[in-house]
Amino acid sequence: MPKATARDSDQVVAAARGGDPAAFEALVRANADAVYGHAVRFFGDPQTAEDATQEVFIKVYRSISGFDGRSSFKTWLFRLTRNTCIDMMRRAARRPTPMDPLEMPQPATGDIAEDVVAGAALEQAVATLPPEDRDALNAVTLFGLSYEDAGTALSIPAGTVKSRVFRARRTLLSLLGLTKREA
Amino acid sequence: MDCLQAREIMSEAFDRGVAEVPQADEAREHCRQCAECAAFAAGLTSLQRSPGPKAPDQLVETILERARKIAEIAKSEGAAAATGSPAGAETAEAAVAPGAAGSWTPDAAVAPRREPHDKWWWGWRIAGGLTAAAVVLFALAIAFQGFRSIGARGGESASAPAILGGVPGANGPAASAPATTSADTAGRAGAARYVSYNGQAFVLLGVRDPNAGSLNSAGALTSSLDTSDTPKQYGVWQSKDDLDLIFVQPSPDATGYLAFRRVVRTLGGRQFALSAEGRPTGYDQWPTLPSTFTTPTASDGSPTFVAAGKDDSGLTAYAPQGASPDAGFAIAPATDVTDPAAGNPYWTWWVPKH
Repeated sequence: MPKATARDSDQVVAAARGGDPAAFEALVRANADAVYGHAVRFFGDPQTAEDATQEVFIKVYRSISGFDGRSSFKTWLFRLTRNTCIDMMRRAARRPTPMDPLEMPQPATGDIAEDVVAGAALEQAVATLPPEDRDALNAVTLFGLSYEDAGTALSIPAGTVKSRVFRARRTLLSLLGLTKREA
Repeated sequence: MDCLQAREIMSEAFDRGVAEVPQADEAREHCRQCAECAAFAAGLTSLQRSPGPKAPDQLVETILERARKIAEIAKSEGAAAATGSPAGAETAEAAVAPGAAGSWTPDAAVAPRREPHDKWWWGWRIAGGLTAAAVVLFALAIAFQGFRSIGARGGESASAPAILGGVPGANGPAASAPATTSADTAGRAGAARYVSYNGQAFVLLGVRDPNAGSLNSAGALTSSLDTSDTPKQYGVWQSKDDLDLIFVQPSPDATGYLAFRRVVRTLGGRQFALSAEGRPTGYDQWPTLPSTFTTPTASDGSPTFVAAGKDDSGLTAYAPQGASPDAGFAIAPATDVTDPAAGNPYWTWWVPKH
């Protein structure tokens, strides 16, 4: 899972804050996968995830002028994304789609990056993670946050982020049959 | 070093980089001697290389198009409001805010867009149009006839809440529309529909017919609802699944419940509710600051408040000098249309949700 690109540099964010449409477009293009990725993993439904992604970036558009830079843009965006998904779920009584690990397709090869079916299996495996582990994993791997920044966004210590990310990866590898379970 | 330690270190090294993790070399050495940990390390590499979810290409274009439309609206409304709007109207955010433009109007550019390939697209558009038409009719009816005359049903007293009485937009299309639709229209058409329950504001969603088994009796609230009568007590039922959702039965023979949702915002990941202490019984009055606060005279909150941080949507939270916003904070008037308290022309006070 690659980290988001670094196009949202301080200069681009500053330009977007100043109302530069090209800078805003650059931010959207650089971060759409991360926002959508979190949303689709949260709801388990691509259409709802698209709605959430739109809502997040419209909020960014409207409120970036007030973004004070005390946290990084990515940290702010992750927190906005997470809260938007939670609010949408509450507002419309949308429920994340639960996933039964026993129904997961097994990867055809050992390398999920080269196997489309296994890529889908990875997303299904992510859907089975406890929400707190999935949030930590998304913050670090989709949004590219450091443990410290993810901890700030999630209001937990950095060490807890590290533990949750590790636990998530261990679960994923186990579900995907890529390693033996802990003895 | 045991296997668990080695794996934790390898996971950390993937995120921080090997150079930043002091025991990475030791973990690598462990993997050379442990087949299971070596398999774990290979699995981490596979996870790292997996592309992850990808946003549809069209989604990005849709977002950019919506942003362009909002900018156009901001530009036109900013010009129109130039004589009466605050200085902040020069930004897109302020220009589309209801307080800046004077009144909120339904904004097609703000609603999530469905692509034409969606088989429900046209259906949603038609339903949306009908709902908007119903809302306009509802607003006109209220404006020209008054609540009481509209609301009377056969056999009901004239003071029965109008929302239950065959009003377009209540028992009609809006009542069956998604909750946010009816709440938005009811709350932003100039007269908010709030009730106060346990000192916190709840905004009208519309008429609902919940399963009685899904509700708990939860005391009472005092309101005149949409009548001009003296406020009186109504029984409150609270959803067992969603404590932010309450229901009020306006009269014993009413066929539905009025559903209200607690108005909340988040700061530092914590939820805060809109205080209704300033307007204890007003159904169509905006919540304001509690009487213990003097209304600020400047847009920076002075002399009552100072900026004390941002809520999770990036909006400035104000607190009394030296106080932490964790105990409660104020929000300036005229927030964005997506804000939970959109349209409120007054300063508002937000308290930890209880």
